[in-house]
Amino acid sequence: MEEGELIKSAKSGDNRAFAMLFQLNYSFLVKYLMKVTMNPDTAEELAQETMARCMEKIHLYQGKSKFSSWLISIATNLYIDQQRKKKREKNWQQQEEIYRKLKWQIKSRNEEWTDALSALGKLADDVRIPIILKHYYGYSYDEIGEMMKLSSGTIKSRVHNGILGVRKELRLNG
Amino acid sequence: MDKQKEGMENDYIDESLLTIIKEIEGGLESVEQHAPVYTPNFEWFENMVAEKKKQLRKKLIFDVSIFSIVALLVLSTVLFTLYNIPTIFFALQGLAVIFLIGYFSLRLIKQVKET
Repeated sequence: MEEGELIKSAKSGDNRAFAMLFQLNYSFLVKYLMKVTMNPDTAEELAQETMARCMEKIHLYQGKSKFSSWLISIATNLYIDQQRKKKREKNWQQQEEIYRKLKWQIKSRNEEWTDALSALGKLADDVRIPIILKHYYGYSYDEIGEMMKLSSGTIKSRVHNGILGVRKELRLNG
Repeated sequence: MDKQKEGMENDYIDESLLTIIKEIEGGLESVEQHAPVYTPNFEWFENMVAEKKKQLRKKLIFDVSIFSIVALLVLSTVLFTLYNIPTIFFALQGLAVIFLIGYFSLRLIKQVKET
């Protein structure tokens, strides 16, 4: 069954269609959340919450964007809300703790954990997310603005300042 | 058109930033390729969907019950004040209007500050 048909069946309450949609998109969603949260455990928890939220809101999905884009839009907002509630301090030490497990997982596969990733991990979430969406997933500023409920100008300036932040961090370490 | 737009969007990028962007992309690609993600089997997804549906149904019943009880309480209070103590009724109407104006103004100010 194609994705369009699955979405139609899911909207009419078919549990199997939901399950198939989620299974198809699970890996994409978790990998996106790993990049955004830099924490594998948080990524998996958020992926489950995203699927639950998707079931509640499936009637709102109009098919204007790809289903996977709609999922990461839900996931992004869930993560931002979660972080806002936690109001955690964003000092460097604590950020280091956050990406330690992911760093270990990458290194245990004999792959390099780059300084750019560490620098990206030290940025505030609302700056890191638009950078990932723009420069890894290739969304436009308008699309990211729609996802994060911000103006495209704000997104553009966050991406720009974020990249400057990464450059500064790399120069400090280099 | 898209290329033109893309060009405008990237007009701030200079060479050194392009290098940084390439490094970021490389790092993220490494996470994409090498971070382990285990997709559970189909039964797990089916169970998860069924469980969530149960929870949603429970939540709906709870929300509708609470809404009905509160609506009945409000309605009976409004009717009671309207027929027995009209001064209180009109005072409450005025207070409700003031509260709503205050609430939406504060929300607007907060939104403007956040953006």
